[in-house]
Amino acid sequence: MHSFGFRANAVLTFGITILALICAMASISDNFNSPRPSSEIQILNINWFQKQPHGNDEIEDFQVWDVVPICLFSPIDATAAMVSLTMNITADLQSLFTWNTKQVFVFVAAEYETPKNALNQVSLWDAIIPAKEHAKFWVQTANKYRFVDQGSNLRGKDFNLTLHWHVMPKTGKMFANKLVIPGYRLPEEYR
Amino acid sequence: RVETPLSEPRYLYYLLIFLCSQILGQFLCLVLQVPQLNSTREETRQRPFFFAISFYLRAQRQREKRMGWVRKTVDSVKSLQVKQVLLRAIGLAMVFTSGLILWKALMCMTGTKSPVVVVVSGSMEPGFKRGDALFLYKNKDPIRAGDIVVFNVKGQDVPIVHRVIEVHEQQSNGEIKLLTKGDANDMDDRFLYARGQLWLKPQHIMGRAVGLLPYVGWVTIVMTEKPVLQYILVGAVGLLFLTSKD
Repeated sequence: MHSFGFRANAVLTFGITILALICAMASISDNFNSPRPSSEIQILNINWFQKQPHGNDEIEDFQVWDVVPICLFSPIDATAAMVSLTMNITADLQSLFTWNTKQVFVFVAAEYETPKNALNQVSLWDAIIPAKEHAKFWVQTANKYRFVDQGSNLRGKDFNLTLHWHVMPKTGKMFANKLVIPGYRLPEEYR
Repeated sequence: RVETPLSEPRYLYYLLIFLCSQILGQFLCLVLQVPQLNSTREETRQRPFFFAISFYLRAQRQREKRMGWVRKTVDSVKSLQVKQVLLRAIGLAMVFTSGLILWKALMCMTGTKSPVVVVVSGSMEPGFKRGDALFLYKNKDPIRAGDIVVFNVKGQDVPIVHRVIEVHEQQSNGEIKLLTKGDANDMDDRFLYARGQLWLKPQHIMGRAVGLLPYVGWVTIVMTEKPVLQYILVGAVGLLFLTSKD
């Protein structure tokens, strides 16, 4: 009852229980925060809008590994259209931060519908906000990731730009939400 | 295959096994704790449950009268040790089964095969560092862009924790195609998928990460990389339990 082993066991068990309780309380305290984020996205310019050179029938899961050495861009499907655009992103996400927040991961995704797919979500740009001071930002950027769709469905397409944020805590439950900004449109012709 | 929670009959089987093992364990403990040297006729009468064992007690008492005092002491010490060890072992086994059943229940409740995973690579830094434990949850909600998912690539047994950046859901059959990427990686995950695989399907996804506990996973990482520590830890805990006085 009084040996070293028992004392070590008791101390460890108690310590771990208390730590777990503290983590749970920290996570629960996050629920009392009611965030009110706001954002605005403006598309300044559609830089180019192209169809990929392989103009065959729509082939799914076209394999390029055997032919092309691995380069920076992963293989894309044959008959794909690609867009490059410059965006102006303004956001104020300061109300999302609590004392238990490690970082907020924010990304902008384009959402649109095609005859084949009921929902498409393509992430265009993302960033990590490490602290509350950086949460109110204005950024002008081209899309970081390729905005590409199978087939030639993007011409004249209406799409929404959604700003998603993902609050990653120091410990506990993660929260994610989004803000949908509709009303963007791609040009009718390739250029 | 998605494991659905509580309504599955598998959950009831596990509950049944748990109850049976607990009852068996309690019964064995009770039987082993029957006092051998001190019970008198009155005590056996007061506890009708041990009536069958009283015959054994009477035979033993007669045997003791025949033996000398030294041999009697040695005998009692030896039998006491065996009894103690057996009791401890049964107690340990009961704790073990409770732990296993709790884990199975957690698996059913969260809908995943492993409700807790440990981050081993740094591809999601600074959000998830190496050694963080993640809590997973899976339900019928479709996977959308931004979800942090844990998936297994065919032929690899270490699951990967990354974020979904592209979702394509077909109109006709609701089939979903996903593309993932680690936050700290520059490239998306196509180089991680199997040969010729361009998209992930929902059946490859083990679950969505919903919670985080930092630093806890280091225990698992250290024990996986140096398996000898596992045996040392289990041996130490087992020894401690077996030699406890109560």
